[in-house]
Amino acid sequence: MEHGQGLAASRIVQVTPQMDRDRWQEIKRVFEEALERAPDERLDYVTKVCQGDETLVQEVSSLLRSLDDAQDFLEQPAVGEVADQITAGPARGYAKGQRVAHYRIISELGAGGQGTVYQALDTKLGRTVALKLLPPEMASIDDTSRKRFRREAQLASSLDHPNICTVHDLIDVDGASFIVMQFVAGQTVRQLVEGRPLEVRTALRIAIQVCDALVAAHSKGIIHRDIKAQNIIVSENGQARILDFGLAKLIGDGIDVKDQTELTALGSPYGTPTYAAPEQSRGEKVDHRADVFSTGVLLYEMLSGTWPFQGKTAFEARHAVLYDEPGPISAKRGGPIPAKLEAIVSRALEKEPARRYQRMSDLRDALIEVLRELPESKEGSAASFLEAFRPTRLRRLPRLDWRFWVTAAALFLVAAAILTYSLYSRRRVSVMTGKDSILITDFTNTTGDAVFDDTLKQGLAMQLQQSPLLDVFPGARVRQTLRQMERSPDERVTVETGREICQRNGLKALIAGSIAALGHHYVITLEAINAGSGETIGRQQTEADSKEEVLKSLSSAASGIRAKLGESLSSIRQSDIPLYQLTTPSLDALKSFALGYDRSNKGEYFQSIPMFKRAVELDPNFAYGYSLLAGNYTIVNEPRRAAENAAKAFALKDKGSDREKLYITGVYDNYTLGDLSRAIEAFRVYDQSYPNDFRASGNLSLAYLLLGQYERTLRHARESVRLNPGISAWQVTLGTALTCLNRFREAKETFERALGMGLNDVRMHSALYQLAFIAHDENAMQQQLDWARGLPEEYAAADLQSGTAAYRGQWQESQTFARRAIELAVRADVKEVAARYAAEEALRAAVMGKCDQTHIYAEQSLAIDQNQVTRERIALSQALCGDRGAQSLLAEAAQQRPGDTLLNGLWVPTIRASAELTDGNAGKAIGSLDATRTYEPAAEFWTHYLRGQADLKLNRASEAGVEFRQILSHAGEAPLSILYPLAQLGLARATAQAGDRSHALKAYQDFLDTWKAADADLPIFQSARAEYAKLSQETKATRPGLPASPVR
Amino acid sequence: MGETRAREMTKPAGPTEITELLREWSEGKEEVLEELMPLVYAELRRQAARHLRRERRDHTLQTTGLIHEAYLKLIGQRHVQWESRTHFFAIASQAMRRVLVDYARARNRAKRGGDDVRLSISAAGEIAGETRPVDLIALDEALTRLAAIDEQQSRVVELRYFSGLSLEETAAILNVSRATAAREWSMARAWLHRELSR
Repeated sequence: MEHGQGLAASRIVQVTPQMDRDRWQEIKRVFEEALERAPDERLDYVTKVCQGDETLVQEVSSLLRSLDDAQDFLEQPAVGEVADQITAGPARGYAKGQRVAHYRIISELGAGGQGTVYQALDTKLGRTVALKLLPPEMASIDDTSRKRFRREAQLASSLDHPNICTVHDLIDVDGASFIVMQFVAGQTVRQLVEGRPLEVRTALRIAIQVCDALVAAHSKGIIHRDIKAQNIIVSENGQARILDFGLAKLIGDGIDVKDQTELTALGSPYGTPTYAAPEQSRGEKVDHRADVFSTGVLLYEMLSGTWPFQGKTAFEARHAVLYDEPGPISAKRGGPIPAKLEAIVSRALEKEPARRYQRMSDLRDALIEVLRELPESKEGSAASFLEAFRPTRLRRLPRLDWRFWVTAAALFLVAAAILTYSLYSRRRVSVMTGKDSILITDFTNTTGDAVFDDTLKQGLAMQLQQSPLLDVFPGARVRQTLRQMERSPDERVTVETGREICQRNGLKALIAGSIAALGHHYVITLEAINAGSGETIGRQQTEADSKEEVLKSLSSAASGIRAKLGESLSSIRQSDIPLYQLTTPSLDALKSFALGYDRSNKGEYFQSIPMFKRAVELDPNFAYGYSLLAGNYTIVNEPRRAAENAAKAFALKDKGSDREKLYITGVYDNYTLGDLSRAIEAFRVYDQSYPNDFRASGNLSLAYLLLGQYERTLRHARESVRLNPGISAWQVTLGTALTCLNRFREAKETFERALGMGLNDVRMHSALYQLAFIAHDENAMQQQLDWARGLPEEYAAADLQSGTAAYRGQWQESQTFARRAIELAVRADVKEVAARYAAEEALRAAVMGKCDQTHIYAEQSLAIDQNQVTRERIALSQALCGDRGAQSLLAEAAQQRPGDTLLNGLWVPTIRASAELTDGNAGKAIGSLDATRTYEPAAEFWTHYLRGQADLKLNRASEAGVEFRQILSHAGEAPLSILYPLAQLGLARATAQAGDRSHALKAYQDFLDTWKAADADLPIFQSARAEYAKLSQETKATRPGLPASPVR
Repeated sequence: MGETRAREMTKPAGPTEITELLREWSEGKEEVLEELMPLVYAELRRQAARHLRRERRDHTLQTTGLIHEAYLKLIGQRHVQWESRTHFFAIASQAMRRVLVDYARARNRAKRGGDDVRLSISAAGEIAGETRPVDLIALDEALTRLAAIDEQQSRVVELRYFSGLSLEETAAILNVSRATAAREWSMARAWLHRELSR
């Protein structure tokens, strides 16, 4: 450094950590004191002050001299020293590991006239991207052009087309402009061709993909303007992607395209002369037909290995484009190509836009036709197709085995996940914040294999459901929203539609998936999209080597996308069980499951059950499959089968995710053990863990319904239906709770709304029948009966009719319908239902005093099938008839389900009470019933009825009246129960017993009115009539003029 | 890639982010610097580039002044509440020092590689006229040595030279009198000048 004069004396003081600070302070003091003197007095002052300390004198004086020399040293801020450096931009390229904004350079992918392309890691989103460093001239592009570029690139990217390379952004960093785009490993068509024609089939497949992407782009009004071999990148599996949408226009704005010198200066410029359509060459306004022309050039190049229009300079090339006719491809190729193909290329290359294909889709379709007509040959095999893309002829890209890319991608995913984690955990922000719902759009399945339809969507939903932070927006609400949008509810949900659905429902994000077959491979792409802006939050692409691997790939893609949705790594670790392990490794089982699930949600159990059965047959370890099968069996009133399947699921529950384990446990507690407290506990935990999951609230509502806690049922059912209105089961629970609470109008609306949504659960029709019955609406009742006619569920209609007849005292008719119901149920292979019907009839017979028939129906029921419910019913009927068989049946039931809440808490004491009552121990009966108070609303009037009967026997008229009134004021709890009219009778008797003749008469009349068409030979009816006659006689005797008996 | 995001990306960082990063760095999280530096670079370049766009024809004239302005803006997050202004400015000027020295290193590398600096603006020469260039790398090393023996003096240099603050500002930040700051500044300049002259 020439600046200043070094002094030998300055070496005296070497500043080292060891240097004496006191010494420095001494120097400092003297130096500062000296500075306060006039400049010419300073040296003298120092010499005087230092008193012979020569080194001190030298040190201070050297500093004073240095200060003199320093002039304005350091007086201008340091930034001036490197101003040139700052404005110059990066001197040369970016090194590996260097950061550009929030991107970290991984490697340089290639350099050319269009700028240098780097592979980089987006540290914010954890994805690998390609960064294209634009030529420095681009740094001065004005804001309007940038905006337009962003819009176009965004629009093209939003097409979500598999053959369009997504542009993420245009950024300015350190004075340089970068295009941030999707990273695609592969070769450009230029690299593939390299002067040698491609196989016809290969060329066609690439061209068709290019056309397809352009068709999509053109539909949005986006013209690429620069289709050329360098802009098409083909991955190893043969997937072609168009790069640089919007770029041609951007560059065109940045540079005066007509200025040839600038173009030459840029080397290989955009709007490359040899690909540009004539109108483009002339600098005229272009439309989508310019892309048709360029695609024609591309095809020509792929088929012939050379360009149709050539020239040594850009000017010559343009001249050729404008005036030359390209020679036939076959001549240049040195081999024939289909004449049709030659004609297609010629037409695409017409000078006049009006003479070309007018639409890109026409060109594409013409090419598809040629491809279809190609004779099958070895050349055409998938393997050879893929072979064409093996990077054997890689020139500009580093010669790396494809495995490297895969490994690298995996490593970066891990790195990305860690980074994502650290970023999010540090800044405490995430893309998704707690309990967010996301929408999954329909998968784009271009494989032609229908097995992937719906299956993948279903699988993805299940995979994502594992996340405690994510919930999948239910399909039913999607359909509901579509209806609100006045669209068909069955319409395919595309990204565009999906975004609208998200916006209407306040969802932040959606996931779009696609699967494509490339030879024997499958490529699964998942993309998370910000619903508001349409921007890509994250993208995951995985490949599967075979169909069997698809689920595994989907699973890993789903994990990746979850990471990108802002989940912390720890959360993923906790709940990330791969889909193939979580549910089933069998794609076919999952397919069956998916189909069954959909049907089940709609209420079509006769369709769903066989599908679930098939699913667990295909994969006997399919825990969740068994669990849902159990749920379906419960709904169709087959508790034994439900219990068995719930137990199977429980035994396999460790194969499931945390969420599934909770579900399986709750279902097991309820259906297998009958332990409703435990079930509620399990589903409460589930609900707390996944509050957005309608299954939790739905199952809670069911448990409370069984317990007879209808307000709670209502609350949870409402929540479930709010979360997902499309689940038939919970709609029914909701409507049933409302019915039980005597809120008939709301119940009716609930069922009707559910039916209107396309749900079609037989129980809805059954419930509407009962509501119509309560409303005395015979027409409406008939409508519901008509609905079932000819369906497998017709048994339910017969059962309703049997119940109705019994309610009205028409015992013979009831039996006729009951027999029909039993027969139909057996025929429909719901034997437990048939057994239940027989048991119900046994019970009715018992209360009507037809114990001989009780015996017959009980025998029949037990012979058909046995389950907990039928055992309870039959034991009750036997107890009412004084049959000791009840005891052994109860013992059996208790042995089967020792922890059964309702058996122990309700039915055992109720049955015991019946036996006591029959034995004449009314007091003991009442005592026994005391235990049942908690579950009384679930007892379908039995406890009240038995207590009322006992009270009558004990001459406790007013207590009896209270019990019977309880029944009469809760019609909704069991609208068709035979105990309702019998409670009318009971109340009449109690009132009479209390000596209130006029009210007693009125009560008798109510009963006799209900039983106006009753079978005259029924003992209970006969005694009721006799009692009424006697009472009215007595009343007439005291108060003449009372109206005659309403009884015929 | 909505507009919002686009804006976010073109604008390297909001004040909060830089401040937050500075805070973390000051708390000893060295790894944060890796994130901080690009933001600072970007802000400097953005200011410079924008100026170039606006006034292409005489962009060489006031480059230094502009960049100075840019980084003052960057550093001047004065509205942000810090436990101590001293702390904040100390940290910020240390960050600036790293950035600027890095630039100098990059230029050295480029020159060694025989690569011409793209735009041959000798900002220092044109603006300060007489001023001879300062070897920032050597200065950085000397300043480190100075800090070992007199930390306050090295602070003064960072604030004055790397952050471009006035004597008054420097004094206020260090909570010393202007005279003290001036004395420290003089001696530091003298000492550093001597160190760099060897």
